[in-house]
Amino acid sequence: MKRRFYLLTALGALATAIWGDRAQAQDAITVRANRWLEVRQLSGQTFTVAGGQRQSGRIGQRLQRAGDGISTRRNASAILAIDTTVGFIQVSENTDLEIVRMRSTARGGRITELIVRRGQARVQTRPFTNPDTRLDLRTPAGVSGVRGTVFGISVHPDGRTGVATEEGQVISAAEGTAVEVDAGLQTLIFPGEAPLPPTPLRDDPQLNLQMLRAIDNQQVEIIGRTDPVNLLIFEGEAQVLERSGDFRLTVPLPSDRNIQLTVLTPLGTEQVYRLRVP
Amino acid sequence: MLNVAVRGWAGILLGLGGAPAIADSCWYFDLGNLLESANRNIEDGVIVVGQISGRPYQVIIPGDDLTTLEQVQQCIPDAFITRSRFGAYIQAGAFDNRGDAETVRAFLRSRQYDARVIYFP
Repeated sequence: MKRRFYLLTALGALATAIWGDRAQAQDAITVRANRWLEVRQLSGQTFTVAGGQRQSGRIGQRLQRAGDGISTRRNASAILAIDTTVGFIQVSENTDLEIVRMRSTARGGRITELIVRRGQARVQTRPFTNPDTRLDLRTPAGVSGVRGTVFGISVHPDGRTGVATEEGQVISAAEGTAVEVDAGLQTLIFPGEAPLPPTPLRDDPQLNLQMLRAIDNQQVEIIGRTDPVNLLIFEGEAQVLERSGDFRLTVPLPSDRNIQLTVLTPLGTEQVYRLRVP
Repeated sequence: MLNVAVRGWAGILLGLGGAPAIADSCWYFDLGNLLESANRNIEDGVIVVGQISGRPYQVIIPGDDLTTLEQVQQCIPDAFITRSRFGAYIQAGAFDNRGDAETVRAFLRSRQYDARVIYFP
């Protein structure tokens, strides 16, 4: 019964986040409070936008307003604290994360809405005791809401979003359909479609290579497959995968004939592959 | 028989552990880790696949048939199709000694594949 109540509550909150039909009423019961994302760790080249000002990221900086956010470049990463008690967000390379809304409710709840436009982020929060507290992560494909969990998302260049839950529960919603992504499950959301039914969590950065061949000694054709929730990164840029996770790349052949690909799971597990072209 | 059973479970566990899964039937041959590492090497946490330096003895199957590749990958997950001046072929493995290459060639021949050993320094 408790689980059902929880689910209904979460679905209700998500429905609000998605369709905005209660936005006006919710604004009436929320207040702008002293809430923030604080930059706790930085590595590599990062930029923040705070109050409309774009600058290099620095530790201790606080992002508070709608539109404030952080961008990481190639080989860069960041860790953000959500207030002092809500949790942390690990932001991987080539990721854009932005605040949509950070409010407090009259009953002390904390509403955090963020959007990840590309890249990968791993969220770790404490269990939320206040029923008003929620954390929603939007992506171009949908929204995933949590109430105390460890989960991660990967946002592909075409907007598809992989969602993986390590602990707790996530509700992922898009196109009017919400699915529970319990601990040990993952799902995939394609833009314009409902989330796929969750499947067992793999957190597997395996790359299955099918073809690796030089073309005219100038280019390399690479055909392979990975779990479709994963990001496949070449020279810092995520590559478009087919729905199945199959991919086909044609890239310039380097003089040392080495091609480096990185596979990144929604939970942030990373594996680097060096393909030596015969 | 016990050896077969142990290898069978080892294959399943390898699959669960995130490493490339090798089909259970492949373990009926006493190939040790030859199949698992036939086409990959790990250098400082980076998985190296392809033309691995120091492994000039290659086991190949002529042609670029994807169905054949998928069958070979049941036993050698890192097998892949490539091309050289000799034409297209499936690279089933690369080894630092001829003995290992010949062992894998014999294994593939027993499965009716036209496997050959070439020296590709």
